Amino acid sequence: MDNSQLLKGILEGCVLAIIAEGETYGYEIIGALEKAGFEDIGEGTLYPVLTRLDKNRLIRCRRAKSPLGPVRKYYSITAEGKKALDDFKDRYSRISASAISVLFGTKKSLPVKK
Amino acid sequence: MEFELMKEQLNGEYRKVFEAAWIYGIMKNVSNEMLIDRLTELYDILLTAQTEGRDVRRIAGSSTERFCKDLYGDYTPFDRLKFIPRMIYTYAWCIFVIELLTFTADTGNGRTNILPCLFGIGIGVVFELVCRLVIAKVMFKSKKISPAAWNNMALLIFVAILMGMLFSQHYISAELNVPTLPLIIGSGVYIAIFFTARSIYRYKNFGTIRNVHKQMLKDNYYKELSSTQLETAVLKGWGKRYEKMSAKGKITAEGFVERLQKDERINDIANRGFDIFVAVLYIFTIIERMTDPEQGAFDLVCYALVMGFFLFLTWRFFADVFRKGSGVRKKLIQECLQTGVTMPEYINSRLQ
Repeated sequence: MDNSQLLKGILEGCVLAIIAEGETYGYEIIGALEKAGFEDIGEGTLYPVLTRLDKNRLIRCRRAKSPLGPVRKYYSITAEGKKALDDFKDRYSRISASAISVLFGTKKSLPVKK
Repeated sequence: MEFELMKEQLNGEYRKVFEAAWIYGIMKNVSNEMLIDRLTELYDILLTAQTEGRDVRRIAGSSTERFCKDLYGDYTPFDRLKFIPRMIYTYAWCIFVIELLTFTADTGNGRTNILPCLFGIGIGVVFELVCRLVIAKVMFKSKKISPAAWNNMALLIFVAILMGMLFSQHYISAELNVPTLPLIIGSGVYIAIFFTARSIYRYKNFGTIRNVHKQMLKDNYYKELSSTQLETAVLKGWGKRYEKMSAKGKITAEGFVERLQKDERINDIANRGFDIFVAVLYIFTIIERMTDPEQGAFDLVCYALVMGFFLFLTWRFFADVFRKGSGVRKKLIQECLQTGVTMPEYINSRLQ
């Protein structure tokens, strides 16, 4: 199964969670996603997600100078975004628990790799 | 062009990704606002990655085409059609200006042959569609693209429109005469509707009726890039000139700066000459209209105002270009004199 199909649903929530940690920008978000183990999340994948979140007023964006000089977009979460994130966390934990239960036969945790 | 300046700050693969995103955006008829929005963001990310030595593939993945597709992924088919009203807006301005001048000059007794205009616009539309839908696609696939080539194409479209208008005026005997005034009002109304709709859209989305993205490019950072590029171009030109002149024994390293100062004095006179030329051109055009016995006083005033307005815009454009170039050259000469080195030495140190 294509990774991107799996990612589509959860990326928005994860990006929202990163922004909820504090004001951040595109390059930093890509780094944070990579650090968390998401591979191949480039600017191309991230940008439409950020635009969607912005359009839905879940994040707000301000423009300011970056240390290197060019204008940079800084993103921060809105009150609506916080609510949406809580909602996402709740729904995700329920769905993932069900998925784990179906895939690995337990509702509690993932199987430990040997 | 700011994108060209941004591109030059990037090296190797970073530059290729930026260029590809630029051409892809144009190819997909992405609006200018979205193009500025995406490319300035991408530029910041690529520049940071380049400075930190981060692999470009971590930003753009392994397929540039896929990356570009994703970058503009939220651009819907409906958005793609938005270039049509924008294109009509440009042509409405053309009709408005031409017909307003025709009307105030009263060359067609209140009627105008719209055929050359329609022919020119038709050629422009066909040419633009061919460029966007065929040529740009081939350019992108060939991977030997340069966004500058697209700028040349835009110039070609403009030339094609003009040629189409001139050609039809001289070689097509058929005429489609329509009253001039409704044509002016029609194009004026379209411009007003488009302008209002755009202002509402901007206000709703960005809280201002101004183009926030264009404003962003007025930031000092981009201005500095532009000025640095201009300085480099001037210094390279001077360097080549000095090499040629010194090879022929016409100039010494010490005398070169004096020669440049003399040139600047001549340029200043030429610039003033251009101002006078525009003013004289305007006065003579008005006098020529005054000698026409059928020209009424009200028509003459209207003509003078319209002609004056468009001539002023043209003059201001060229005057700005001249002033900018002259300012940079004078600044470089001043800096050279202050450092106490010869101009060739100064050029070498700057270009290094």
